[in-house]
Amino acid sequence: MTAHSPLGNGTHARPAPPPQGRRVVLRIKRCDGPVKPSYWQDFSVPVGPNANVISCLQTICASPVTADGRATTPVAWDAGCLEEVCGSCTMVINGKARQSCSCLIDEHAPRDGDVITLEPMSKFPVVRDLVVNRDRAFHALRRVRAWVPIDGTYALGAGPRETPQTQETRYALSQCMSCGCCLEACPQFNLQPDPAAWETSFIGAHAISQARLFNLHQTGSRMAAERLEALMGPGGVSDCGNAQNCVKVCPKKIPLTESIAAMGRAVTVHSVKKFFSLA
Amino acid sequence: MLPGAPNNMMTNVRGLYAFGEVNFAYHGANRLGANALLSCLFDGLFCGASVDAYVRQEEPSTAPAASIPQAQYDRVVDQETRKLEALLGSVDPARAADPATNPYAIARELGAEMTEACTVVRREDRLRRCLATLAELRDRAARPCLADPAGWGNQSVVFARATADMLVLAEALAKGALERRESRGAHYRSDYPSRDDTQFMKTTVTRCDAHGQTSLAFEPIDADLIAPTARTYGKKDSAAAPTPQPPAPPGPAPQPAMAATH
Ligand SMILES: Cc1cc2nc3c(=O)[nH]c(=O)nc-3n(C[C@H](O)[C@H](O)[C@H](O)COP(=O)(O)OP(=O)(O)OC[C@H]3O[C@@H](n4cnc5c(N)ncnc54)[C@H](O)[C@@H]3O)c2cc1C
Ligand code: SF4
Ligand code: SF4
Ligand code: FES
Repeated sequence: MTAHSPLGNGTHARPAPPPQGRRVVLRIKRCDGPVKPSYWQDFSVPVGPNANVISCLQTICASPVTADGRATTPVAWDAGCLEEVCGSCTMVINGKARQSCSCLIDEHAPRDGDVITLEPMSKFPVVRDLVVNRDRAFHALRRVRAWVPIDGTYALGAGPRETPQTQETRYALSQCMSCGCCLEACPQFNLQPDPAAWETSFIGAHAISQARLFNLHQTGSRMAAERLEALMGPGGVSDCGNAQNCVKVCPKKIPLTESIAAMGRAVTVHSVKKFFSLA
Repeated sequence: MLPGAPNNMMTNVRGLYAFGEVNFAYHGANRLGANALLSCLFDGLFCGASVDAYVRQEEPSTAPAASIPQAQYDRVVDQETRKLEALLGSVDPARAADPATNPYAIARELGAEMTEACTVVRREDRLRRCLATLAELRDRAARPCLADPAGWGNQSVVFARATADMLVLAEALAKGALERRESRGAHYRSDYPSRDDTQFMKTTVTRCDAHGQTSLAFEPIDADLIAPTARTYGKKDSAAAPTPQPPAPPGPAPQPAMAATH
């Protein structure tokens, strides 16, 4: 269940005392629900070898007491895969957006008493504590139709051939997990709780890059024009201010600025063609 | 399984089907690496027609959901609401950190115990101890004490319920491992290192009653079409190993070759 050293000792005695060793302080920005005020709480957590942020949060749940000894509610957080492939555990750790499951305590707080700050991402509405609602990031994928259009109702024949070069380009792009780090870091992407505004607010680097991924796919390219249309309108690729923050924070090292440039060019070509009614 | 028969992969809840990973069917004692999606696809292709047949020929067409009295739905909602209220009613900040009744602490002990007793190498005495531990954990999990009274985003309520379910599954797993006094597929008993087809060429069936009590039975496997042979995965030297074999006396035995189960 967790990489953290378990409390159980394999006999049916009561759990062993927390592993001897150091403690770290988790300073957590908490919030009881949407639009409720935020507040900070410190937790002093015993850590064993290989502890990560999630295992520390589990320890807090097993003993929901603040560093100054007051009983409190367990901290809410989100996680899925616990191996940095699903993106659901993304939060702001020591000021930087990243996945909490792969955030090792030994690296981020190596000494006894070190402090780690945890905050929910600020560009998405908070559900509770560290849990945010990333619906807008997924809505952006719908805007660019980030899928290959096959529904299994008709035979497509043999699969398309793919060159090793395209495969290499696409593989890098395919690793996106919609985690939202690039959106958290982007100065053009701002909190927008109203879904009605999502269609025209900045779509984000991840969606631009996914549009490129699926336009590079031979079957996916059937919808290339629709994707470019989506990127042409308000909130599309031209809203990017080229601050390049996204590419610096992407945990999967996806060449986002390359994708943005490529899609910017494709959109220009598409609009010129459209002007001459070729597309 | 007959093509198109409505009961293919239907659960004991009529109209509720279990397709894909959740049924873990078709693979027997060991799922070879990378073969899971194969069974998911098979369910969709082969059993999809069963759902269609059920919808057209049985309850849904003769007694649609809309004709079921509202009281029947209300009863289930009431039942679940009571469970939720019981959990929320257990909230006591003063006792919430007590590992005896904190679901997260219980789940952690459960994880440690199952990892030790029920993973790669299994042994009779250890499995018996494990079952005793599970009984104790179940007892504690049945009277949990939570720390969060919130009606919104309350993860401990969900976790407490999941812990109770994990305990049922853990018990089914440990009982199955204990009763199967042989080694087969990914199930390796160091006290019974050989496969024993005379006694155990059978499917383990675990039933869970309304109170969460599990009971175990073995169902024979129909091997009329394909005679069972030793699973050697192409290894020549062990291919001569005769099957079935009598159980070997308890004692240390070499580690079995294990295939990944993804
Ligand atoms: C690390 C890993 C590697 C693997 N590698 C391979 C491989 O190489 N080859 C291979 O063939 N197989 C592999 N598998 C197995 C394979 O991925 C799974 O068997 C397959 O994905 C299962 O698909 P599924 O649709 O049956 O279930 P899932 O994909 O598990 O889907 C279940 C869905 O139900 C949803 N759900 C759960 N509870 C509820 C609820 N109460 N209400 C509504 N929705 C709910 C979940 O959110 C989920 O979307 C791997 C598995 C893992 C974990
Ligand atoms: S592009 Fe990178 S940072 Fe952005 S959502 Fe995808 S994986 Fe996360
Ligand atoms: S390059 Fe564009 S998408 Fe990336 S952070 Fe800057 S403004 Fe945002
Ligand atoms: S839990 Fe999936 S990325 Fe961290």
